[in-house]
Amino acid sequence: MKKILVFLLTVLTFSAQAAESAEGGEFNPGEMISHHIGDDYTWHFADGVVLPLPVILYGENGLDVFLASKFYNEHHELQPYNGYVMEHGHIYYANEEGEPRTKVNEKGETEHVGPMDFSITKNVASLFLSVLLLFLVFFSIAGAYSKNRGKAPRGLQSFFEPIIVFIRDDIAKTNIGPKYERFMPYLLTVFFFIWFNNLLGLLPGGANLTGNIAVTLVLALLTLILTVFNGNKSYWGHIFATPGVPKWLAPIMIPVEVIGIFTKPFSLMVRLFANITAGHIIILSLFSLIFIFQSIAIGPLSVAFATFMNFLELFVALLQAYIFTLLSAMYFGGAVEEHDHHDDMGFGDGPHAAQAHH
Amino acid sequence: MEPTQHPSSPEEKQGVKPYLKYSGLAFQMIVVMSVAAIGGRKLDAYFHNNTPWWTLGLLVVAVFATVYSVIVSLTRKK
Repeated sequence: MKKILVFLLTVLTFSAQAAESAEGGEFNPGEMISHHIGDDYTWHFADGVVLPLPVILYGENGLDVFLASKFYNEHHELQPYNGYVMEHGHIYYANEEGEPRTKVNEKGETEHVGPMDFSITKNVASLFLSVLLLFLVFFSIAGAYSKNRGKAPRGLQSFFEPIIVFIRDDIAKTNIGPKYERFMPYLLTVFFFIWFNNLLGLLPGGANLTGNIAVTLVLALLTLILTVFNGNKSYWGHIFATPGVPKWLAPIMIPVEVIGIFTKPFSLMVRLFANITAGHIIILSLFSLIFIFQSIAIGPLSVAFATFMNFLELFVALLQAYIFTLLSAMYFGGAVEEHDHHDDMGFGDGPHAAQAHH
Repeated sequence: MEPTQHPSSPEEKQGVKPYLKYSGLAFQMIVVMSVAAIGGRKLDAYFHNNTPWWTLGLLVVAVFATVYSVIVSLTRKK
């Protein structure tokens, strides 16, 4: 993860770094960008508007809960607090000099030692906020459905209904087939979760939640678990005895297919993380140009490009949510597919339409 | 939703989906070859080979296996 970030930053901010070192200025775009896309113990909305978040640590001193502002003195400099010290965005035990305590591990390398960290960081706070927002929106929609039963949708409901119907008809039904219903809660949740969090991440001062590989890892893991546990005979048959493949090739094909089970969710994880993170880096790099060149010729150009990119990112936010949901649906479809049914694309309008349910 | 007749819809919807369906194949190729390379190196270190026969052999097998699996998955449905 760090290597990918370092690589992206090196590639995308190369010109910026070069320009800066020639001038010898103080502005460091790489640092600014990695600070913006990374996680933090405080929520930095704007310059001077900082919300300290609770730090929750569990280790040799038992449970410790305090605000992250305790790590900063009145000059906004880092300081050790209560036997803990923060360095490079991680919390470690402090030694007598206020430096992170180190130990030598089995490989003979020195490493910092720290407590277990359950802090409500910027990303966690943003996650809670988005969950609250999702609950508000969708409980109100669900309430509207029971209140206006049989009537035309109103307000929020009428905005979201076409999207929900689109996910059901164009993502779930076409890719999963007749058994689409059991996957609808997951598909709808994952679509709106990713979409809302992508959009929240684009707000000024927002956290880059879906650009955090741990978050996308969990989402991809859920898709993997659902696929594997819903896999039927024909799904496992395609993996361990792929039809049309000679028997003597099985020792080669089985490892490839088994690896394929894991690489599909892996690509989901990397795709979402990389797309969202790259979008943030591009916009921030464009803004960095203003501070690097400090010229009236570059300023408007940079703002124009950044605005354009922001609109593009609004589209990417939706597109990535759609792709994640669509691919999840395709993997579920592959797991529950029956190979003796008529090709009705899951619409139930094949020759056996009478038994199919819509 | 009333199931409407879609005589042309399967072809209409072919636009972006085939591409998406195989977008994970690159990762599969990367991982299969990485597994072959790492496993080969481990085996060569274990057997103290001067020429890394395991690495070479497993990589060649991995290349053929990934290409073959791509062909199988591409031709699976029409």
